[in-house]
Amino acid sequence: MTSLRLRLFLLIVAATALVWSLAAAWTALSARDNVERVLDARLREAAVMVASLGYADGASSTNTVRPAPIPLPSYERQLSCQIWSVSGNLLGISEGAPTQALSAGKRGFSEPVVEGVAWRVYTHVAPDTGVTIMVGDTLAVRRQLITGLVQGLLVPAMVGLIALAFLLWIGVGRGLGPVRRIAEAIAAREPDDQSPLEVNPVPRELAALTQEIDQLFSRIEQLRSGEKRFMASAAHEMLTPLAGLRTHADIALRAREDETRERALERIRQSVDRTARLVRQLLEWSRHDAKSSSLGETAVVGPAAEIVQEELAHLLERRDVRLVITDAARAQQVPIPQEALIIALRNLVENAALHGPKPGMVTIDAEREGFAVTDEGGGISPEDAAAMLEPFSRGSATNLPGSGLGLAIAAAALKPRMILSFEQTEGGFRVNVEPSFRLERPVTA
Amino acid sequence: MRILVIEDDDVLRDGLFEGLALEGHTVDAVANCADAREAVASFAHDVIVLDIGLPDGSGLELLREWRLASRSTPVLLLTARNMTEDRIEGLDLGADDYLGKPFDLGELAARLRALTRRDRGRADPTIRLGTLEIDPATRRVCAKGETVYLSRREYSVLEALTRYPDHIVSRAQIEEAIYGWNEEVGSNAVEVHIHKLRAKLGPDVIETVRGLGYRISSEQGG
Repeated sequence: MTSLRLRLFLLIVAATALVWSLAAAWTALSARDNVERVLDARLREAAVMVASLGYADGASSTNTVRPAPIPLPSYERQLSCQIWSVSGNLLGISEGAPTQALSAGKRGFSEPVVEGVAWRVYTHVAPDTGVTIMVGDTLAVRRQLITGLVQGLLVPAMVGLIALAFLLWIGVGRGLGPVRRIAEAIAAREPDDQSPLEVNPVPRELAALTQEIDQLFSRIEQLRSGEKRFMASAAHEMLTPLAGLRTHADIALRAREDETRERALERIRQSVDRTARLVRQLLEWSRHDAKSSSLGETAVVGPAAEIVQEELAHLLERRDVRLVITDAARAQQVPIPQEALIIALRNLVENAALHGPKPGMVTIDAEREGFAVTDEGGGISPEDAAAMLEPFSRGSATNLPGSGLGLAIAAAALKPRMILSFEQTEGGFRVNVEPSFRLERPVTA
Repeated sequence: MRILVIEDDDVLRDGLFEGLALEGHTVDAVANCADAREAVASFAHDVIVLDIGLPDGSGLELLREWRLASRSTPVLLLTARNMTEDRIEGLDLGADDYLGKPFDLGELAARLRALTRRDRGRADPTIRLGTLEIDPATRRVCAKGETVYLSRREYSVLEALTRYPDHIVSRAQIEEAIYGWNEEVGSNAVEVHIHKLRAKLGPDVIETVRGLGYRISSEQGG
């Protein structure tokens, strides 16, 4: 059911109708009992009253004459009365009463069928004269009385329920006004509008909802501005080497000296390499960003390191860098998927090869429950270390080639199961990769 | 024309250095804000090419500092941030021109020439001093209607002198205008260039003011 108003309305009406019906049933039963009691009391009183009129047994010894009518309070002739002598003669009868005995003579109340009609009869024997008085009314009349009474109770109740339903429909609608206003405010927003909802006044119960919505907008805004920054940085990183390419191409075209032209061509080659690397890193970043890391996957460092060694063979050769993978590292198992491990390793080894000395050595070693990539370079300063994990950050060193994405991609690929930390050792610069819950060293080495 | 290039990307910085030198300019190139501050404090540049994204700060911040300190050297912003609001911000902060990456080296050189021309209050791109005509775009020099071919250095010396016609320009000022930081300056290099210029343009074009420097008259051959 999509309408909250209808849902609330039906729930309240159903609950009200249920309670109302139970109450009505209870009232009807109670009313019937009370009416029965009153009518019975009336029968008994009438019988006692007739007995007190003093009909004597034998006042009419013969049964040939129709007995004289008894002046009974008639209740619109619903009540019938018979007076029988001890000998069984009918001494008196009320108008409209059957001539056949209303009861078999048993004292008190009984419900006999006389001449095909069901009766409720009270039989009274006058103690002084022995005359039997039978007063009764038909069950049909009694039922009619009870039905009338219950109907008189139920009809207003039904009308009341309908009126209540109408008022509930209006009331629920008004009560849900703030929800409707919030919905309208959200519906009326532009897709790029992330400002807080301004719906006032908001009831206490909905304040938490609007706060959550505002926080969500704020998070989306942060995410969007982060993406915008990332895109701007990515564009900058793409356009700068392109500008370098273009400038050196212009120089190569204009240069009159071969030496100048060759220098420009060499720079073009470097720039193409760097741009290609940047594009690959951006693709890795977007792939990693789009994928949620699955828990429980593990990978072994050895095969991943060999793949990376093969992929980077050209760079390692050009930089005259020897990549050493220790036996301990080869056997090390880490709690991240192999693809993420390859991405992290490639970026770490590439960084080490680019920023370490030429010729030099880069070592992949086991490190407690993770691994470490060590180069022989000067590393990065402690002030720059934390910033280096942000995309496009190169720290304050300006002579570093590269996009500033490498360490950020490695850190992002390792998240959330593993974490990077930096360490300046005697031999060079070391990047440690360990399970995040075991990290004891601070991020800044 | 002496140009300061502030660009952190080494490939592009080298390209600007080489490319603008090919255009006949003297170029100093730095890669960060700290070096840029020092360069601006130490040398007089005719124009500055400034990248916005620098590793130790923003180029826009540098620009704000200079304008607050009343440094009026024309600045051309060079950046990949090519959004309109970025341009507006840069120009509002005191930049004189804006060029998005990537760009044509020829266009950059033309814009730099236009900036220095405006800075010196000239509308006509051609410098005319009597019978002497200098076209900075082509570096073509005409004396008495005839084209004269000058080397890069000779042209730079002539340009330094014509920047302030009728004013005395010292030897040190000429040296600063034609040599970058890392260039070796011979003890009599300026004299040699002046001598060659006189040989090509005529003996009276450049006047020596003894003990002070050189002067070029706005009424050449007139």
